[in-house]
Amino acid sequence: MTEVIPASLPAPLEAIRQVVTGYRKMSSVLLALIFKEYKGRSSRGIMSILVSLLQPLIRIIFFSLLWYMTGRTMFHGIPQVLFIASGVFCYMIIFVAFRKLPGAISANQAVLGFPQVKPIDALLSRFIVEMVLLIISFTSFIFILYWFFDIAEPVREPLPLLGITLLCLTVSLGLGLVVGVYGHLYNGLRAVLGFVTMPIFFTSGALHPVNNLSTEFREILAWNPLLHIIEYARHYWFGTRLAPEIDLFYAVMFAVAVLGFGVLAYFGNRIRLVQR
Amino acid sequence: MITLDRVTKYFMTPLGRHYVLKNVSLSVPLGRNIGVIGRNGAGKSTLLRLMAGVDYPNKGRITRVGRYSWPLALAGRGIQGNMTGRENVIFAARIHGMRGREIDNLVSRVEQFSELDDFYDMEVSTYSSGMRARLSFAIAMLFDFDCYFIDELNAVGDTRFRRLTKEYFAGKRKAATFIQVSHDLEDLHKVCDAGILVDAANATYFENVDDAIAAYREAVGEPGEDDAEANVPVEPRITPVVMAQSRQARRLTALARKRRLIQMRKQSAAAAPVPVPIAPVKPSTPGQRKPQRPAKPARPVAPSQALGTPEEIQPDWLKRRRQAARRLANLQHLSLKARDITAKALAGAAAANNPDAVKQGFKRRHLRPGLSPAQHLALAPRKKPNPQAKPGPTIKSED
Repeated sequence: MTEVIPASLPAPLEAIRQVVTGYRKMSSVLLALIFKEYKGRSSRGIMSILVSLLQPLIRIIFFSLLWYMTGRTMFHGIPQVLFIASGVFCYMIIFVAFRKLPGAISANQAVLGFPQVKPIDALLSRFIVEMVLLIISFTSFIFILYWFFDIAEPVREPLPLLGITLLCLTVSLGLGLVVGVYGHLYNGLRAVLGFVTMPIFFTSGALHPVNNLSTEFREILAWNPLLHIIEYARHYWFGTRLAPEIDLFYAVMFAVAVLGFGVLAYFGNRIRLVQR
Repeated sequence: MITLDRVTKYFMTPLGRHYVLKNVSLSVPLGRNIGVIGRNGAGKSTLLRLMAGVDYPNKGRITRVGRYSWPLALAGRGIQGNMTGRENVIFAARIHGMRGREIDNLVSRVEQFSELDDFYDMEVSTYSSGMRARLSFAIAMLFDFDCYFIDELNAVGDTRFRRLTKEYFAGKRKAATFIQVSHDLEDLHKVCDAGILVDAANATYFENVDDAIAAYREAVGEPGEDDAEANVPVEPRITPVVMAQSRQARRLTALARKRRLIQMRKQSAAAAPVPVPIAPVKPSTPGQRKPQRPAKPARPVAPSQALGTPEEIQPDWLKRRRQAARRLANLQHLSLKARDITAKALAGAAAANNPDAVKQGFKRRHLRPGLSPAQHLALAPRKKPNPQAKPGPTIKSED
């Protein structure tokens, strides 16, 4: 591997110096790439940014209207818009990266000519940009619901909810690394991803309360790790009752495994990623 | 100092690994201007990218001390097409850890140096290749690096830009190291002190650039300036490409070898004496005994028949099988013959109005070999005639 060796220092100091230098270098690169991502979007006009912000909301509004037309306005005493928004938000956190990261490396191919920029920086910067856009979009939506429609629910347990959000981000980053690496190496994979995400979405419990389902059906749906994350998010936000099949440990193990697999995928293919 | 320690770099091709560098150990000192030479596709740019830290080696380790530029190439690598020239400068400055005023200073200096005028605030995708290279070069020159990597950049730009680059290079060479890839040996001879020859998956460092150029000329078979036999055309030396065979390549080679072997066998068979064709053996028909012919004089034996006739050399199981087939054919023949005789005898008996013979019928056991139907009829058992009996019935059927 390529490595820059500065003037010799005692080993512990040298290690600290390398960590600090590496952190500074990486943060500079990430900031520059985030700036570049922003410039890339803004160069396409304000509509491009608006579409990025509205895209997650369209799904929430569509499914909420569907339930509204069937006469359901509340789920377990919670406004159904918020109920669906919480589920779709968790789903979007995970799958926005799933959808956007495969093109991150090829979009930054030119700047990989700088020795400071590595493919992981391209993946991370896009991940950060997408997540920031999603969080802005979601918080704006919640604020609009509260301000204009007087629809709001207090957060029962904020810290565990933050933990669940971090869990979502971990799963998202892991999946994003996997699809970012293999989607760049094998273009055909991107076409397959659409088929994979759709059934996961409909079995994730994002659109309906799981407690109303039969035990047999819940046991089948419990294979989907996203269901556990969404149910726990609702539990900590609205205080909904958890079904006996819901297990946080399963979701945490899945997140760790996916992140590990993502890091391994990147590490194993890092040479191929920089080759043109 | 840049040190390559047992560095191997290869690219995967449909035929397997194409080695650009194989187990190369090299130390490149800083403070000298180094020219990298080699034929097309030898791996000069790859070596430069490895030394610049843009690419990774597949094996081995590269250590560097100091601040290094990115490889400045014709394609303007490092320049993002969907950003303007100004934004690209800001991007490069941010990557190198600049903040605030430092960035502003750099942006204005690059604007002056690159002379892009209005294009400076346009997207780089609208630039020509020369303009891209000029921007890339301007950004790199305004950073202070210990070592600059130049990849055939001199071939680009107009006369003014080339003069400007030469002046900048001349100024920078005093304080920094230049590692430069070029096919212009004259230019390398003028500006470089040392050389690296990249050839046949190997890289060799020469303290004197002239030695590197001479080694390169020898490698490609190009006559040198001092060569007394400069007018004599030199046969180009073909360097074997180091390529590890993949499984598929091995399979293809094995297949080709097999085909060649088959072809060789066919050729050798065509050259051998033609064997005498052997007539197929007809199974002998029972009852048809051919008169024995007088024995013919022995014919000369063909080489293929030297071991014996086909019947002699046939295995036991084949002999037994043929015998069984022959017996079966005999039985069928006999059966057909018996049926024929019986039918004729019955017809004769009916004609002679012999009801007893007709009633009793002929069984196979009554058949005697060599007797005609009439003789059989004569031998057929007859009942004594009953005077009270009515005249015999007419033949209805065998049953």
